[in-house]
Order: sequence, then structure tokens, then C-alpha cells
Amino acid sequence: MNERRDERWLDEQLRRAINTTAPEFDAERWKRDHAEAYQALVARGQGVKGVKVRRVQGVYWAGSALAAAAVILVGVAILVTPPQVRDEPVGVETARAPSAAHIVSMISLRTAYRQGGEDALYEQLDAALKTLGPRPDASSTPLLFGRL
Amino acid sequence: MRTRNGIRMTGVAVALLLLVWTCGAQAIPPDPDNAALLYYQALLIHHEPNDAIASTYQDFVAGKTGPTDQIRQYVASSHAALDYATLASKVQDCDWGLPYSKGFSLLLSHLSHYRSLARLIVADARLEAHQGRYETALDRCFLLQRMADHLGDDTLVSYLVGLAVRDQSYTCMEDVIGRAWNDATLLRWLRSELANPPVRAISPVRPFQIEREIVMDLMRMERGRELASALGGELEQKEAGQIAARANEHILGRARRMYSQRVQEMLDVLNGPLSYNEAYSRLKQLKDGSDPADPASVLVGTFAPAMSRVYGSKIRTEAHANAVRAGIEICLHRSETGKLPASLPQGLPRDPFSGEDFEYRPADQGFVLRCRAKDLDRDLVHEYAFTLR
Repeated sequence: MNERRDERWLDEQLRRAINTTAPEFDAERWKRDHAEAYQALVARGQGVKGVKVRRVQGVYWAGSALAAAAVILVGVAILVTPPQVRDEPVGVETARAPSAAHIVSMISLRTAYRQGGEDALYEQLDAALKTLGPRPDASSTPLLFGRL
Repeated sequence: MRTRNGIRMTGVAVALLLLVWTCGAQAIPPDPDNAALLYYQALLIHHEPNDAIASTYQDFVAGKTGPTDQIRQYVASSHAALDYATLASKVQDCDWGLPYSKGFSLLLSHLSHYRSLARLIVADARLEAHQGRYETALDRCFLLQRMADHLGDDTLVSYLVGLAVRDQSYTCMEDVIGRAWNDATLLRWLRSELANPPVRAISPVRPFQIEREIVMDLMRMERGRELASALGGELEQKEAGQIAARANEHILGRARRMYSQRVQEMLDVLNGPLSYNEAYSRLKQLKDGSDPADPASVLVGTFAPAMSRVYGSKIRTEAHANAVRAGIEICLHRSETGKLPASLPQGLPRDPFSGEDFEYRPADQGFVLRCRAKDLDRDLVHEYAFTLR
């Protein structure tokens, strides 16, 4: 398999995430290195949504009152329910297993082409054929029909 | 009274006929009107050759070696896939159903299998040619071209794979022409078929436009996570971190404007009247012109498409197509006069790299057509050898 730079990088991130006791979403290491700036970037995006919600709440006050009542009910239900044992820390996303299909994602193929031209692109597509198999064996197809 | 009865009887007869006709028409539902559905089925039943013959098969597909019994057996066992591909190629519309909302995470797994299917068709065409069935072999070449058109212009990668499939069809045609050089009727038929415009003309413009929308959507604060992942795919870790760290609404807004403008300039070059050399150089300049001190400019440079490279691929395929068409005329001359022309006949399709006629050179077993200008992307001059067997 022709392993491209971005895949190596993603794989590295995923390996780190899986090996730690507090797993994190992939591609986060450099975000940790630049945590303040990156958090600001994400938070500002979320902030925009928050403004919209408050505006909507101002108009539909009756709906808000109902929602508040629902929240109180849910809160009571949570207090009454016995606590469950969790295997992982709260608020931490579970690391995802690396997807073999990433090799045929648009970004991965695009990067292969940008870096190595057509040869690199086709090499990666052919490598994907082996990775994403198996393909059905021709000899098994007539057998299948025979058994049906 | 008799007339009224007659009209009534005729009405009943017509109604019965209509009923029978309608029932008959509904008995078998029609085939899909979307070629992609049939191609997907072809891909499901298609399989690669086993490892024992993989290398020999690859050489045979590339025209480097002759067929073996194992290759014949493999191709024969794959006829169901070939049959479905043929059926699909006859359907006009083709929608691969790509979920563009996935942005750069969009998966293009069908392209790997499509390339494999195309290799099978090349192998079948070559086998037919080896057995002297030249018309069938050429039919397979046209099947490849329709497949290339169907693969189309959904994404840049689809477009490039389509070009490669089309290029394979021309390589295969060269081989068939070399074998059938004395069959003037076949060559005239091939000439007229190649003169027909493609059912679905593909161009790199649409994939670039789609990609522009994807990138513009990505360069927004609320898409921080996806932007970070995409940057991580394109840049070194440190560089990606630095850009993400400096990103804010102002920088991203400026990057969007600059990116849109840059891609539009590239598309203008692509659609303009510039020569190959001029267009290639301008596209390369637009791609490389980023200011490393400006994060917006770096973002634009990172996501700007490798348009000069794509343009190079497009011109390369055009050159091959023109060489095949010119080669047919030379073979027809040989077939009609008994000898190859001393110089290139006038009015033949030209070399798009130079905009001039191909350089023509008779060789021991045929002739060679050579471009007169360099392929700047590959740093070489292409030539096409026609071996007359």
C-alpha cells in the first residue's frame, strides 16, 4: 500500500489516541499544541449558534417555559435513577478505529494527486482495491446460482 | 341501429386491444435509466485476477506481452461483468449518487473498481484483436470511451480516472489499427466513429466548480473541525497547526474571496484561447502564488486545485486522440497506395502541445508520430508508435 503523508499523520494521531487513558478525537494533537487559538476558533463558531437560540427564545417565551418544565422533569428523573458505572471519563469522545475507506476519500486521493501526480493517484486507487476487498471469486458465482 | 352497433363493437375491440397492449408492456419492468446502477452491479460481480497471473495480466493489458491460457480463462469467467458494463454504457444518463454534503470526506471507492473493470475490457479487446476480430475489439474500445464519459465530471478524481480510461482506449486502438491496417473498410468506419462527438462531453470545469463550493463551505468558523482535518491531510502537522491557530472570521472571509477569485481566474485560463505553453505556465503561476506570511493566502494555496497538472492530463489525452486519428489516415494511405506516405499528409489532426502537425517518421515496421513540443508536466515529448503487423 502506498501510504501517503496525510494517512501516516492520521494513523499516528489515532494510534496515540487509542494508547492513552483519556482517548481523544483524532487530529487533536496539534490542536492541543495550539489549544487556545483552536478552542477560540471552534467556540466562536458555536457562539454564533448561541445568539440565534437566544433570539428565538425571546420570541417564543411560551415554548421556553414548556422546555424549562421538561428540563426540570428530566432532572428529577435523573436524580431518582441510580448512577451507572462508566468505563470512560465523561466528556471525552471515544477514539474511532481508523477507517480503511479513508484511502478512497476525496481529500486523500486529491492529496495523492497534488503530491505525486497521476501515477500516485492511480497507485493509491489500485492499493485501495486490495485493501477494500475481498472481491467475489468468479468460480463461486456459478456455484451460488447452482445452489439457489 | 346497425351503425351504432358497429361503433360499439369497434370501441370494445379497441379497448380490448389497448388492455392487451398495456398488460404486455407492464409484464417486464424497464431497465434502469441510470447507467450508474448497472455499472455498480457490474462492479459487484467483477473480480480481479488471482495473484498467480496478476503480473502477466498487467503486462498483457499494457500491450507488453501476448495472451496466455490463464488470461483467456480469467477474461472468459468475467463476461457477466463485461455484459453489465456494456448494458450500462448504452444508457444515456449516469448519476453516481455521490453525497456531496460529505465535502472532502466523500468516498470514491467505485473508482478503484471502475479502473479494474476498464482493465478487463482492455484485456478483452486485446484478446479479440489477437483472434482477428478487429471490429469487436474496436467495439470494446468504444465501450471504454463511453465508460469514461459516464464516469464524467462529478469530481476532479472522477474526471482524471475518466481521462485515463479514455487514454487506454486509444492505446488499444493503436494496437488494433496496426493489425488491421490493410482493412480500408474497417479503418473508414473507425474514422467516422471517431469523428462523432461524444454522447456526454466532459470537461474539468464542472469538477472545479463543485470543488470550489466544497472549499468555500469548508472555510468557515463553524466548520473548524472539518477544516482542521482537511488541513491536516494537505499540510505538515506543524504548518496545519499554525494556520488553524491563526484562523479567525476575518482571515477565513478573506480566504474565501481570494480562493473564489483564484479559481475563477484558473477557469478563465482553461476556457480561454491561450496556447498550451501559455495556459500551463499561467495556471502553475496561479497555483504557486501564495504569500507564506499571510494565513489567508496559505489557505488559498493549500486548497487551490492543481489545475496546471489537470490541464496537462487533458491535453495529453487530446494529443493521443489526435495521433490515433492521424494514424488512421496514414494507414488508409498505405492501404490504398500500397506504401506509407513519404511525408505527413496535409490537414490531419494536430499535436495540441505545439499547435502544429505531428512530426512523422516512417519506421522499420510502421511509423511514429511525435509531438513537436514538450509535455511540461512530465517534462518529455510524447510519441506514438504504430506497428503494422
